[in-house]
Amino acid sequence: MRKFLFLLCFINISLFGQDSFPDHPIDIITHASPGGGTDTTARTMALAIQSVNDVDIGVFPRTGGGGVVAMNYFDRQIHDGHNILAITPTHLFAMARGQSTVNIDDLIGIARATDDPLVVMVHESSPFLDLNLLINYGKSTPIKWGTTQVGGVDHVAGAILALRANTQLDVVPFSGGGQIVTNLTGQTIDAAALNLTEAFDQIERGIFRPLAVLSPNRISLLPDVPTARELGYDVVFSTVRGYLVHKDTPLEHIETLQRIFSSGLNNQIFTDYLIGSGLTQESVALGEEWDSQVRELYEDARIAMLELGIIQNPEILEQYMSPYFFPRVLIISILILSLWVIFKDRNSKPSFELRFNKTIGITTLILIASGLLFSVLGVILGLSVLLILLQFAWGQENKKILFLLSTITPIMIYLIFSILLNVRFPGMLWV
Amino acid sequence: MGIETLNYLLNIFLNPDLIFLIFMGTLVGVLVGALPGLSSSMAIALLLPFTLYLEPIESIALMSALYCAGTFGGSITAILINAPGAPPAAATAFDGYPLAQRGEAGKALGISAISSAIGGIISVFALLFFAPLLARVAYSFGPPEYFALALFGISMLASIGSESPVKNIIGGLIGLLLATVGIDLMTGVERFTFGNPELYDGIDFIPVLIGLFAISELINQSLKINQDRLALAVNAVKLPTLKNLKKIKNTILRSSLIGTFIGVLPAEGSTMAAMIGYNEAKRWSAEPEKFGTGEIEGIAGPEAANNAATGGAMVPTLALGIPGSATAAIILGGLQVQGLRPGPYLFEQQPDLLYGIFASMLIANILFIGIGLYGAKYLSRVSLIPIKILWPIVLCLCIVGAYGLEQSMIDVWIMLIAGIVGYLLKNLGITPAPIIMGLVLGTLIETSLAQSLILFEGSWLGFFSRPIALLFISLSLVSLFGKSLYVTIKKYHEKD
Repeated sequence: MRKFLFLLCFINISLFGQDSFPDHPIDIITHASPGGGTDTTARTMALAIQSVNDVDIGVFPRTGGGGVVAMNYFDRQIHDGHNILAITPTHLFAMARGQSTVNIDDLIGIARATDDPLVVMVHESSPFLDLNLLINYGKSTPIKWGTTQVGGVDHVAGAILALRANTQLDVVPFSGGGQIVTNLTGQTIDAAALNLTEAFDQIERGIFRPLAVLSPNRISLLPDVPTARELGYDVVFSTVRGYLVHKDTPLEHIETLQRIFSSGLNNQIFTDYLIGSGLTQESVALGEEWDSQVRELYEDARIAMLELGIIQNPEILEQYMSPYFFPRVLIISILILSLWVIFKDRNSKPSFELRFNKTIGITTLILIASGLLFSVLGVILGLSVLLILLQFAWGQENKKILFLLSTITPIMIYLIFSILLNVRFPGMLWV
Repeated sequence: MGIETLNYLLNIFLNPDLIFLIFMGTLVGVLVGALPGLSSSMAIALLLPFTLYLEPIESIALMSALYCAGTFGGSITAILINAPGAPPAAATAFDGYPLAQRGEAGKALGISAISSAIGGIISVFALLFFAPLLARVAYSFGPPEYFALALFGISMLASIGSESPVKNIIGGLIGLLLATVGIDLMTGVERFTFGNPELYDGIDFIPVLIGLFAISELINQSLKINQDRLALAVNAVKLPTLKNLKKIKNTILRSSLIGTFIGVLPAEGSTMAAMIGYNEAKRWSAEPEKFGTGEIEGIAGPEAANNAATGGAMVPTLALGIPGSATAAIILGGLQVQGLRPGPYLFEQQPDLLYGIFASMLIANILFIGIGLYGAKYLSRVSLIPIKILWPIVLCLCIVGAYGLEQSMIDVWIMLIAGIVGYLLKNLGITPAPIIMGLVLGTLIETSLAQSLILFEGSWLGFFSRPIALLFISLSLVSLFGKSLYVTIKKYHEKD
């Protein structure tokens, strides 16, 4: 009987030990602001996955820096499969330019969700009825070309198109597809290459006029729109959106993720989304197929970057305003205003009268020590010591209060944050 | 209001989670508002790390309820202790405390609660009406317009609070400078990161916020550890009588409109609204000489105005992404951390957010009447919690909050440094509010300028071809130099 119980315990442990992945919500780390194609795709996929699996999965946007912010954030996380990097060509370009701490060899492909061709677009009231008109216009005045990200796929597509068509282009970077739609509508920019999924709605409503598709062949949803190749410009770009994990992720977690993603991407919710946005189930690729494609795409991206001279000279992206211009203006203004305050501003209250005494000095020291205490001793012990120190410094004489405060507060905080909110503390309980 | 609007609102009123959060937000708001030293800005800053675990609509409901209630809560301590629990309530003490000294604390609190609620509710309806309107106008705004608007917001910093205008502007510029740390969105070039990958994505907003608002105040409070405060007795809070209501109804209405308007102006929030509300109440009063001795209009004036500013401040915050006040800047930052980008596009994508804010502010404004009426007695006692006990707990929350955000120690250090530097700056007369405004507007102002220059092909004169942008740039110049110009002209005339 005892043996049986022992065995039962063992089975239990092995069961819970094995199947505990995922034991907290999975984050899909994207680089796009909400409303754009990457965001919508990831959210729809998460929804589809949750509808068939008992998994908590969400989208976690880290916008900026052409995907670098998202990639570096991803790199800093624990690589146990709970953090998944959503990748687009933009990320690959940034990676090829050596901007991120993540390298293509650090990543393993889980699945591809979309293969979304770029469409060159103008506003319906624009004078550019076809691509050639736009290109000819650009020969005299640079085309104002909206992009979602500096060094993003739509930026590179525009730059390569300009190179092949021998025309001029000024790139106007925005922080997401949503803003491009707004600015194209407001006609602050001439043209943009938007993903089919992002713009199909506006094309259908007649707000945008598609000029050319940057895919190898015409697409079924826009049968009348020529490809750039047909018009004589060899420019093929599409936004692939796929998901990768770090190569340090345990193998069984990768397999679980591939299974979960496959079930979600082949679910009706996601298929409906693909069809609704003008794509087909061919957009989806799993495991090996996607893993090898992402490496090919990386190689293509590297070649495009070399052709544009971006790798050798990243400053090429600088247009009219140096990245150091704004901070310099700020520093100079602060200095001038400070001098003004010192010498001129007699109306203001007596300044530079620093209130300082022993208590403030000790309090400041304790504050600096608190960072150390917290990281070395962990949450409960560290905060306890900190509370005792601070109360001593402030002359708390009531021993009962001192004791209660420095025991109950850390325990309450530990319970709230760690149990309820799932925050992983350094050293946790000092264990 | 169409069927769709009612449908959204009904969804919110019937959502028990949301109602619970709004209730908690109101309760915590009144509480921290009532605690001297703790303001609603600080409470929202401390709550931000928690809100990341909520849905966007839940988090904004919590924050906006807290914002409304905190603005009211400050009046409780202003009336009972003669120390405003939060800066917007400073003007309330002028007449609230004398009235309480005469043994009519209950009446003072009752008037404060009713005026605050009416002011708040009027402004919330203004929010529901004007925010979508402004968003629709903003749909045609391009980068030049946004640059001009953000510039206008920064220039308005000159007139917030009582500190020197130049120092407020310096604070704003410091905030803008902090926002340039990290990868430049336009070129992908690293700035001020010193090779530290933790700083690639910029300085995290939340730790700076907690440091500036909470840690610097903690150092400040350590000066006052041995101060004793005395609260005046309050037995039962009384709703104002009809006679009283009749007397203050014009004041409430006037202050509500003033407060809403001032709230809508970028950067100008409740503190400014309350001051103007008080002054105007005095100016229009039949007996201005009675002000300062416990006049009920002197309570209704600032209280209606400061709560009206809350709804007003949310209008540009949501419709344009330009914060209407320092607290709204924090709420905006909280939304951005959630990955939301307030502006016209947000309204089209997620209209429920607007209704969420509307509903939660409406509910909060009604709820705090109850909390104020029945809880003031206990709240006044809570506000006497010794600093020695309260602030060590706040410190623990700060550390864990800053750490919990990304589970990185760098954030804790950023918070501590921001706190110590913030204390030093405060002593030099540079308060946290303008710094936060600058930090929130930093990316917008820089990228929109760079985008505008590309649109104008490098010519700065291009701004002259955009009338709306030009208007806001001129307004910025007026708000920066208007007052000194006026003074100079006046002096010149006096000489004659």
